[in-house]
Amino acid sequence: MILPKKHLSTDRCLLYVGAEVLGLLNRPRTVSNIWHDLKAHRSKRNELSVITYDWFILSLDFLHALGAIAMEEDGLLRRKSA
Amino acid sequence: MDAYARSWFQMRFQNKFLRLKGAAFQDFFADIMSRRHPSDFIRTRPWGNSGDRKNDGYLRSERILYQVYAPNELTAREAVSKIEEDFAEALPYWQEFFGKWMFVHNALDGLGPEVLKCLLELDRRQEGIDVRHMGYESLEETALGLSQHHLEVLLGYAPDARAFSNVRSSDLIKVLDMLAREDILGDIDPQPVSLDKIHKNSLSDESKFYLRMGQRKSGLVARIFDTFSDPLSAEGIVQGFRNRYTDLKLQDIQSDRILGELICHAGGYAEHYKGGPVEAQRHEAAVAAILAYLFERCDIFEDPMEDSIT
Repeated sequence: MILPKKHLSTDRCLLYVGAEVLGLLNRPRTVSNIWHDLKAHRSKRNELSVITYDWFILSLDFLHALGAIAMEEDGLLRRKSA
Repeated sequence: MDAYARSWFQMRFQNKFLRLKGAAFQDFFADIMSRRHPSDFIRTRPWGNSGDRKNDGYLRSERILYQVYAPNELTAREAVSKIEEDFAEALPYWQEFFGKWMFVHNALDGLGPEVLKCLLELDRRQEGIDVRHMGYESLEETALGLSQHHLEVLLGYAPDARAFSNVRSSDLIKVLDMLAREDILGDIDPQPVSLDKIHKNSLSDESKFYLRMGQRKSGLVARIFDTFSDPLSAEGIVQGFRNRYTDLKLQDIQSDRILGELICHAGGYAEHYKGGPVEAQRHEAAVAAILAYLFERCDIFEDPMEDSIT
């Protein structure tokens, strides 16, 4: 599920969705705010497949496990610097 | 009836011929014969203590008495015993009514030498009575000589060229939703598609035609997978087919029969359909599209490239 597979298209794998999320985290944001913008971004581009909220949360879990993002005490998600 | 429908009926006939055993096979045989010879072929049923007196059907105009034998597994010893016993019991009761005794069996690859010898010896011994056998090819020829209406009653609604053209996403989604209820995950290694794949798997002309028919809409399957809310549903469905294919392969059965069982696994060859004939035809066409998609992606059947690598 992290990488694309024969029946899991590139734009649905967690690596791709995670990269999209990172692209939206140009400033600290709430989870729902990112989800709203991610949906809008994907629906504008017809070639991208539908993803559910559950799958979006899984991408956040993935990014968190990599140490790429963190949720601070204010409830906002942030990119973590390398 | 166009070539698409005829090919489907041939495949469906073989699938039913192989799947049905015992009384169900006898009923299938009698259904075919009753339609092919209306008012001439007489079915028989066991009656009280008398049983059926070793008469599984009678064709009056040609004075043929039929004995049907369709066990789970046909062994030579049991078949020979069955022939001798049934003929011996039928003869005194029916002798004045028949000139030909027909042994109907479900061995797809034909009868073995011991059984054939038994039939030939019986034929030689019985003056005035011809002893013959009826297997797959004869029964297929009899069945496929029926009108399309009768074939639809016996075998289901065959998708024709129009049905394949008219398959919609909703038809595919209905089939895929049903399959998605099996949630089996596993790793699938992508394999390159080889042009020799059909040849390597020794699929019959009808099977090849079926997969080519399905290819007309197999691209739609990939697009539908991308719309599934659970991105892992596609992998689950495919793994279910791979598991089923592996099970069938281990049973060492022919590729055509494997394809027939995979069609059943996908909900094809349905005994009952929701909706009318048009919906039924589109359902069968949708199943063909899904099987073709899996075949193209090498999720079912062997890829000849594997042999060249090893």
